[in-house]
Amino acid sequence: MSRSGAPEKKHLNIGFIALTDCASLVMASELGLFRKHGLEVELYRQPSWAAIRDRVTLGELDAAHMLYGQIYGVHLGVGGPRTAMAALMGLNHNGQSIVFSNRLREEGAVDGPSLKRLLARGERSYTFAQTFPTGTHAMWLYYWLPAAGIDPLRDLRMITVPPPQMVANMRAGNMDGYCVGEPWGGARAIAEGIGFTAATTQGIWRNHPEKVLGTTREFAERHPNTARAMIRAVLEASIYIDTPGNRDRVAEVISAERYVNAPAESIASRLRGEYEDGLGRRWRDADYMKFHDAGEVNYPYLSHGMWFLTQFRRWGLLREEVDYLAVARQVNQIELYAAVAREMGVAVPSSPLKVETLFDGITWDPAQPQRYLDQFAIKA
Amino acid sequence: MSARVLIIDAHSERTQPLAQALAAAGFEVAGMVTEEEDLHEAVRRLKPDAILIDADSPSRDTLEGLAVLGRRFPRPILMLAESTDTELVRDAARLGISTYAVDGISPILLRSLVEVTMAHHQNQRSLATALEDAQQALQDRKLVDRAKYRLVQEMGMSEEEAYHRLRRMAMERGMKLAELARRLLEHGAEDSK
Repeated sequence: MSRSGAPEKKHLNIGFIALTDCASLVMASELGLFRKHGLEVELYRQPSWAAIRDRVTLGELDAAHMLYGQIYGVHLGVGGPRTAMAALMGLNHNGQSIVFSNRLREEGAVDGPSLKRLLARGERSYTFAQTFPTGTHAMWLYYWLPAAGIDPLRDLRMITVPPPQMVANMRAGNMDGYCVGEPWGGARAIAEGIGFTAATTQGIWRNHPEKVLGTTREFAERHPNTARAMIRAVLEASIYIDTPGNRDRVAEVISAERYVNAPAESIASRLRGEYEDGLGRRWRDADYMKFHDAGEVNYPYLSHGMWFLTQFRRWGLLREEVDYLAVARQVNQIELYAAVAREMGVAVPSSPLKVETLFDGITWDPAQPQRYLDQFAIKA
Repeated sequence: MSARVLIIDAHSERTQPLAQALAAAGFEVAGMVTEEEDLHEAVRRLKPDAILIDADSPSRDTLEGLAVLGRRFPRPILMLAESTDTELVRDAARLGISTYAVDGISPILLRSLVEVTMAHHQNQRSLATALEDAQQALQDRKLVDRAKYRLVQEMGMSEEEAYHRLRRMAMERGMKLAELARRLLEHGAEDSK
């Protein structure tokens, strides 16, 4: 039991989407870590990110595996209902992929620059998919394409498709490329022979924020002990997953029908950092999906929330200027998280703002969000 | 004044009656499509004022993607705060109904749309429950018949004697007749004495 006191609410319903990065929630449940900290948790797999949002905001789910961008979209009411939200902790870094169809390869496109040349020929229209309009996958794709001179809003048709349906949709010829989380990214697409990995998201932003443990601000304020107990259980699970030698077991557990429902091996290889792109290149990726990384993954850096807000502005999702730092302070529960981390001896960074440089050489300095935004020529 | 409604449903057998119920309530059903169809294309072509979709449909995220494209596309009705009350939306969600509507749709129409759909689903649900009950009753009667036949065969009883024996045994054990019959068929008459 945490010293912070008994949970105000013990029985919790937590939602997740069938993706490799739901692993810390599943392992916290399977290893009995929620129970160890006084919680009785039921995990519910959800059919869509919209269902996650609705059920968390209506209180049918107490918390959920949420896209980093999505929780900010809900907080500000971008494209959907507005509810004050709380990100309790980061769940993972890295491990999403941009996939191209084999048809694109036959037409000569295998990366950003060659896709740009293909689009310039104007032979047909091209469709790319992401998972949720304010989600991380949309933001990775929208960031990656312009670096090759492609305007994601004007040069392509962009659609939204839920993660487990990506592979089926590409097989049906409905799309030329997509960005999604594993195992639906590279691993399944390659195994089924329909596409290849054109880019990994860690190749776009090394150790990028991805999913969060999300709830409403009302829930976090009314149940601080419950929130801390959840953070503690999931932190312990995250440490377990990042302990060398445990990853095959994790892949086995989460592959079950009621969780990710995919072959264990298609989850395990990339979870171990063993990558292949489907075009013959194999490599050991040091920046594979991380769940803890000495706390770097889990600390809810304000600069991460702020980055998604800058991209919402860039793509016209956020129509008015906002105080990026103030919004990030409302959403990311750094005090709740830090209290638990210190109790457990997990490192807490000295500043909630981190300067990071992405693959195009552009530096994200959270002290200068407007100057950062001004650098992008391609925008809404 | 009417609203154009698009129904997205994987179960075509239940879509048709819903469309009829909506038409009877004065709505114009712009179209009925399945999840497999190209929803982007369908929404652009049919220009619905409102969309009804199963709350558990994965295709909801596709509608979310359309919703950010502009005011002419239906959005989740939870965000049309002035048009709906949360309780109604919550009750609808419990029945598995998710509604999207364009900005500026009449609140009265929207409310009526959700209510008609809810009433229809409740109706369907009670029909389904009635059907389940009927199937269970049939199942039970078959079990009792088989147990009775077994007693007739093995113990040389008449049908009537067998039936009375079964009823007495069930009463003595405080079991339902069908449950006793099932046990007797599984374990044989000796165990059930």
